[in-house]
Amino acid sequence: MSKLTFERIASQQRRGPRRSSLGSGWKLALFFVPAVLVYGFLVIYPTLRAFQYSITNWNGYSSNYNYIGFTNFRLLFTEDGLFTNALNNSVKLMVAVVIVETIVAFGLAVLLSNNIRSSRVVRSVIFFPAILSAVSVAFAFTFVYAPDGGLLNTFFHDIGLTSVHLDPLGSNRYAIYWVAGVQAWQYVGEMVLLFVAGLQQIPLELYEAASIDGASRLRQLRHVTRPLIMPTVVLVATFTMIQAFQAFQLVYGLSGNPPASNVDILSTRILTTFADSKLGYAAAESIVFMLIIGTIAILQRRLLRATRGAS
Amino acid sequence: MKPESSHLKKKHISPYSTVRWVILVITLLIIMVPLIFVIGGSFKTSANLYQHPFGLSFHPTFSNYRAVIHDGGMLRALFNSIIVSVITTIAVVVIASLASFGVTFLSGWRGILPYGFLVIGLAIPAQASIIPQFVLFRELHLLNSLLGLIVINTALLAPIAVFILTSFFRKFPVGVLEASVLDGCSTMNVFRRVVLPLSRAPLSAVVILVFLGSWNDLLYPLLFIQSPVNRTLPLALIDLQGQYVTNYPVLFAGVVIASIPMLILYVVLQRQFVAGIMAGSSTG
Repeated sequence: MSKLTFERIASQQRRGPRRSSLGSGWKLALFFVPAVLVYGFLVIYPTLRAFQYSITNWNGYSSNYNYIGFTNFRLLFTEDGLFTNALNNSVKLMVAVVIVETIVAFGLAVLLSNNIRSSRVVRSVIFFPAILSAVSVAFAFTFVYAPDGGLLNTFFHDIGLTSVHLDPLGSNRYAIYWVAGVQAWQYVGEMVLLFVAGLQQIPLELYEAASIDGASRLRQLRHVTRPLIMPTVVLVATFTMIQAFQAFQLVYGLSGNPPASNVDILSTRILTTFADSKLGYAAAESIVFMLIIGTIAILQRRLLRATRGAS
Repeated sequence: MKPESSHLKKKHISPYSTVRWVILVITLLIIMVPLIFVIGGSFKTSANLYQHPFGLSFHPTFSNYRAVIHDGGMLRALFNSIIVSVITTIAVVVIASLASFGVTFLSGWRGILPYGFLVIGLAIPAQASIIPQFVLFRELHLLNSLLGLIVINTALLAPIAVFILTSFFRKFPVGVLEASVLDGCSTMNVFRRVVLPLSRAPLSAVVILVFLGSWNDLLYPLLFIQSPVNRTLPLALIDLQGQYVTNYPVLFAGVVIASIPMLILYVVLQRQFVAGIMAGSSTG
């Protein structure tokens, strides 16, 4: 059920016949009242309050606080090294995960897009980590990454590389990329499924025509698959970005609470600030966070439209 | 392991299929080895795991499981997680299927407007609203309670359910429904007796997605829950880490307890899982 079909159906509906004969309007309106109330009161209203809190210096519990304009936002970007550090790490994590996950998932999907049994079995095995909690996955990888006796180092020693001694999550500036590796490990199978769904929508006749014309498998990949898979690439890339941006569970599981500064990301920073009784300031951080996610979502819509037009 | 086509048709193994298998086997190893170590390690002592990480344990110990159950409160957390996830799932299915029915079959802006309102939430990340939600729940005295988690999970997971169900309902032949109305069926009965029974596939996708979402959530338990008796599994796991630091076998036993229910569900309902996750991820 891709966005494509959904939007097409939606636009057909708008042009289609009126459907009020299913009972009077107010009766149908009663159906959505519970959801609208629950959701409006518990999600939309708090989100709006976040904007209000973000321009205060409220600590979260005292009865009085002041409106301080955009001071919080100014401090975030000018004087808060912790915030810019977290923002930096978030971007690094996001970029690394998007690149690795999209490329690896696409490559695997090409190998697994047919429906023979081996493909189906491999797909369902590599998808499995996606349903685990990120905390569980993080615990497994604290052992994989452990500097002494960890799986990764033991593996290198056993194959003869005794000089290798990695401390992936130690205090070095590459730690965030090792976190990215775990994120990619967990969700690559999910992205393979998205790609496989995209690949299976490409008409087989196109490949047949190409191979009659003498195009090799690689040329087919370049000239048939590549243009037609672009909408899925956009979907996977943006979904991966948002997922990585929100990967606070993984960071907590790998690095503890509060996490070490070299793996601190925006979503963990918000919670740490909040725990430090700086509620107004944390709200400002969460507004920035929301704007970034919103930007990615808008970008996705634009790109989807562009790639759909091209193909 | 041989490519299937080769032993079926006895044809030559092409270089493509050799490369394919090498890549797939490496991928499977990368995915499965950490999982196998977690399961195996949960039955080892800490010393044994460090000295022989690759060795098979012929003397399995259950002391790690005893530790997480007695000191880590994992059984209590398991019970809490089941309560929260099951009730959340039921609540979401009820309010979201009602809402989706309403917005799909209301004509014009009267349907579009509430639909837009309900799905705009898909663009709001939880971290953006959680701080005011904390304040709100404190005022409502719903912090530190399973009910609070159920309420917030229901509100947060309703939009995705509305999105999935509405896009399915929109494909419904309206004629059938109108005919039922003409036959004297009430609107509620059209919903209950005609629409719902025909919506098994999207409903099971919603059930899986919502159950998984509330089962694995750490964000809200972390902020809302203080007392150990109200912890859900991910929170209990995080607390284990504080308690046992690098005692991996104990952590692994916790991971196994937290994951076993999902593993069983996945094996039994694999197709629905895949459909549910796919429906969830295509919202963007």
